[in-house]
Amino acid sequence: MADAPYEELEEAEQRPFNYAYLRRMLGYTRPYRRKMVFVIGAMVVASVLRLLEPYLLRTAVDEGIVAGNLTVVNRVAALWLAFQLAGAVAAHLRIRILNETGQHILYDLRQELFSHIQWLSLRFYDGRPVGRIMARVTNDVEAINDLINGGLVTIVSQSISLVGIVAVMFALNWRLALMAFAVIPGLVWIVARLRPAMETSWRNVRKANSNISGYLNETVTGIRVTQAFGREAHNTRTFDELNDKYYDAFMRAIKIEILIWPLVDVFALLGSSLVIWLGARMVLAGTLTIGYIMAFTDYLFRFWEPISAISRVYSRVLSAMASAERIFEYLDTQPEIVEAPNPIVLESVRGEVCFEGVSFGYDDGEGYVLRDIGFQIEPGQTVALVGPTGAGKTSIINLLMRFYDPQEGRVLVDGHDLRDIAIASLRRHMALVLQDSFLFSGTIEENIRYGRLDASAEDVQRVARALRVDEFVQRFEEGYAHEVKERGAGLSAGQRQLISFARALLTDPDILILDEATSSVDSQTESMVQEAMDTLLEGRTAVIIAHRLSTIQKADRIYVIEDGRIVEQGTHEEMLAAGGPYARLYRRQFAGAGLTPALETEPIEATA
Amino acid sequence: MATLRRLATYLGPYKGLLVLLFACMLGGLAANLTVPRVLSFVIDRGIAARSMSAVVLYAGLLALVSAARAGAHYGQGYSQERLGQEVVRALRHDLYVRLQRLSFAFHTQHATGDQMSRLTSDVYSIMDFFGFGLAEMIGSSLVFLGTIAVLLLTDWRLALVVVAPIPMLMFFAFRFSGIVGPLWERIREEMGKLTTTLQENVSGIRVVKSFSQEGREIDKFAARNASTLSANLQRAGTEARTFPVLDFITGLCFLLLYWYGGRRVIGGVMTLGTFFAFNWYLWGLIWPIRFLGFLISLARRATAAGPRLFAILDSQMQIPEAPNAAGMPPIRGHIRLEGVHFAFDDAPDTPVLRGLDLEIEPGQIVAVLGRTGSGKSSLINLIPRFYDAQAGQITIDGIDIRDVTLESLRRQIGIVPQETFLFSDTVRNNIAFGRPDATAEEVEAAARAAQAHEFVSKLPKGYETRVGERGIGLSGGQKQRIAIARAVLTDPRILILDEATSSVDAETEHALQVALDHLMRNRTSIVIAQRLSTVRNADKVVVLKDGVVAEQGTHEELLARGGEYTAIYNLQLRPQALQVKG
Repeated sequence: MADAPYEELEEAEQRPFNYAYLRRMLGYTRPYRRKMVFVIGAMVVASVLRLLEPYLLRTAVDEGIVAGNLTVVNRVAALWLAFQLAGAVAAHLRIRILNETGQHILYDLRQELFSHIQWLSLRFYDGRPVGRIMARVTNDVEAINDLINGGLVTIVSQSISLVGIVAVMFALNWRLALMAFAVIPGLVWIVARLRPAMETSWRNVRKANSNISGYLNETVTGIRVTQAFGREAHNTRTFDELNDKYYDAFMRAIKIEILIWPLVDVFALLGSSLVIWLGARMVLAGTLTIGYIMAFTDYLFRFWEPISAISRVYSRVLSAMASAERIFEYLDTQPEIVEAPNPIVLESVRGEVCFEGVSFGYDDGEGYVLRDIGFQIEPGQTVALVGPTGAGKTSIINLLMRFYDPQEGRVLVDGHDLRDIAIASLRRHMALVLQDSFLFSGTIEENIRYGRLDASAEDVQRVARALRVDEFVQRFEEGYAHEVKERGAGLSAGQRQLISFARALLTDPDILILDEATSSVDSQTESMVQEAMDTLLEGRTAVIIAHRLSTIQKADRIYVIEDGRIVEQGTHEEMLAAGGPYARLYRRQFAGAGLTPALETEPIEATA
Repeated sequence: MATLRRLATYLGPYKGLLVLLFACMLGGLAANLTVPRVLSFVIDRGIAARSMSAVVLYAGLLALVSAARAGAHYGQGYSQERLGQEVVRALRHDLYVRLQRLSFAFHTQHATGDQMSRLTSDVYSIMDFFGFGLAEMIGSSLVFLGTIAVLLLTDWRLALVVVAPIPMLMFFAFRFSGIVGPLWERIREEMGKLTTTLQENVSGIRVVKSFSQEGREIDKFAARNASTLSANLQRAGTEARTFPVLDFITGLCFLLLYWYGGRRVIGGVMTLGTFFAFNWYLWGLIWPIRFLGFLISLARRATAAGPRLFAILDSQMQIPEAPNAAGMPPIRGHIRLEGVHFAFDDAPDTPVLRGLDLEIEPGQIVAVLGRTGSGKSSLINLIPRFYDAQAGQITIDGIDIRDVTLESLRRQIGIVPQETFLFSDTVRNNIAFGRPDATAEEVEAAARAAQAHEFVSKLPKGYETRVGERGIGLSGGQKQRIAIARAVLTDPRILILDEATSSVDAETEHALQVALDHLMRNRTSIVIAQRLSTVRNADKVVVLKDGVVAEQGTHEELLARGGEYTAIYNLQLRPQALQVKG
């Protein structure tokens, strides 16, 4: 499902209500247990007070009004005022504490979810559109908030008053009470029958929302391509379809939800009619006073209020459960790359890298992209990987960074299997510069410091000068405080790449990895990087993937990768002399550039 | 209020639903007002008069009224929820259409995450209001006013006493509305920022991980999360201070009823039945008021979200189309730039182009060179009108590009950008991006021409292989060839290439060269050149410096001149040849 473009909406199905999820959801209230107990206390007080109201009314009527006793009326009025004041205080506490707790839980849940996915392996991110991941952290978490803030309060407070009301009604007159409750089983039966349809439809609403979010993120990110190709109308149609799907899913869910209220109403009416009929007979028979029947019908009204509220909240609970399921799916995804129980913390790295019989595939079903790769890099060596696109060069780097673990074989740094090393300590000694330089919004300086916050201003300056970041930064009015827009918009590809080089080198890595790092920059930038490189590579192990063979000729060793295997290795001169795959690649490149390889290093201005 | 009024225009097309909504609401109201009356008859005419038949009659009547009320409630629920959804659907459609039309300048200045937050979270706030809040507000007001009217008719003296605390209630409600509004605005804004942080993090997760900055990213998110929390807590605090006060004031109404009403019954001015009726009617009064605080909060949330949506809808940062813009006739390819001045919006004082003049003949291949910041990218962004020049004129075949529709102009221009953006879709659909109706054969032919067919065929599912949002499966060179195939398929009259040959390996470079030669045939081409071969193949080399054309001519002519071109040649093009060793 992970690689499906959109989440498919489902047909209604009978699934048992997932109490485990609900329990787990409620588990988030645990840190706020004391507050919750306090709130429930406040709710009990408020409910009891509200329950006493009809009784007060009965006293006012039977003993005050009917008996013509003004003192009783006055006393009841005073008591009423006291009740209201106490009720208001209780309500204040309830609203404040519950809201606070709800918001804190929302914060906790969102933070947990975000922190959790931070540590998930890249495989999790492969093929999961950004927008859909986002929808879970924002919209789905908000749906849970609805449950805690709205739903939970309603259920708890209404259940308390329901229990109270039922007790009072039985105490007042058990026959009438039984009559009133006779209709409840029917209501429960009907609502239970509606549940599967409601659950499915709420799940579909969440999915439809996630699809909108995914499409939105992608098309907004790719807006430049859309406009360049005049695809707006087509995109709008696709968006409208997703928008319509959301509409349909929501309407399907809400049509069931709004059925519940009138349904409760009809059942309430049945119960009330029965009570009035039986009650009237009792009054006529002289077994009940008129004040009692008043109080009783009053309680009956109050009895239906919680029932109706709980029924309505039920739908919201189901909706929140759909979100909970989606959140827990992420929370339960275990990071594939896990640290050993007592990982080796690398304090310093010499820079020896070794691949031993490594075979690796991204998807277990789709075969290996690397087969039996083995090589050794000595500390301080510069090694280059060359080969056609899709040969597996980037996969080697992904394994070296431990973004993935190989299915077979081992990857070692300084003789330690990567799987035994603390991940952060490993990556702290490595730096990776990618083809697409991703910058974060913030100032240029913040971007350079990204990997090493505590770097001194001198260090930043030194690295920036070495890579000639200085030259273009000086042209900005704010210099290093120049704000980089999202993804580095406003800077050229070359400038972005120079910054990402600076970012990598500021961390003073022992192993530097360049994955086509100079391939999206112009040759001017590349030659600048080249110049800096000699000093930058000194004392570091470097693994370089480069398309321009000219940039890797100085490498200590070059591996030619084809179809996931090392097909040739050696130095530039050796392999060129051998006339194997490397020599072919080399010749092809210069044929492609329309140049005959010149044999001397003298300037060729003579051609002009 | 202006916000609500504007949002309400989205209800316009659904007059039928609105009528249904009001009919149901009035029906429900009538039923609600009747119930206490009928109940009082049960007491006065049935039980008190000791008539069982009257009890049965009025109980039956009660059943009928309640059934009608249930029907009205269902109708109201349906029509209000549907209205909410219709508003959301239309609003979201408008927003999306507008987002797509807004210029590059807008998208550079506004974070994707924030736009997303607006089109989801903010839109849902408005949905809650229209799907529930608005109808509930109107319904409650009707119940409220209706109840007061009935009370006045029944016993105006008692009614006046009972509703005496209502003005106090109004005062608190208005004050609350004034306080909670700005809080909601802050919450919406914080939510936008949180989404932006999230979006950026997920997009850049590879960088985060390679620098082991997960911990710091978590802190960054926690800071956003905490601001959202604190804004919400403030709002919750306000609600906690207000809602119980509203409740308390309604309690006072009951107090007045029992105290004053009791006196009147004892004094014989009022019957017991009327007293009870008042009691029940008051319940009708209390229910809308209980909701009042919540509804105000809901409305203020919608009015806080509204302007964030209008900001997109009203943004003028789009490329304006002339009121009577014609379609661009088939382009021959004569491009002319005259005195073009251009500066980015956020740096108006540092113009990028300063009076640029350039003429390109149909069918020419023009190579553009210049140092970073010389205006190369701006030049190629102006021709398809991704930006408009502040001064000067750009014509194609003698037609000012501002006089034609954007679509007809851009459809005839093919662009192979510096970085290829792949959509998470199949390879086929990515190639057919500019022409979704292209046949499988056409797509394949384009891929062949772009030298992409060979590697695409080797993919697990060939043309049906999905390429992810991050295009993880494909290398830079492969992505670029897909971009070229995209351009080939649209068969553009003008081709714009931006440093497109820079990110490939040796073998691919050769393949790309073939693809590009094919692509540039029979079209006017503008290439931001990186490679010597491109420059040599070009009919004309244009060198930009400080936003104007510094030199133009053929490679040989310019090299002979020994000016800016020679400098760039030595810096950019020559080193490549230089490093070739035996």
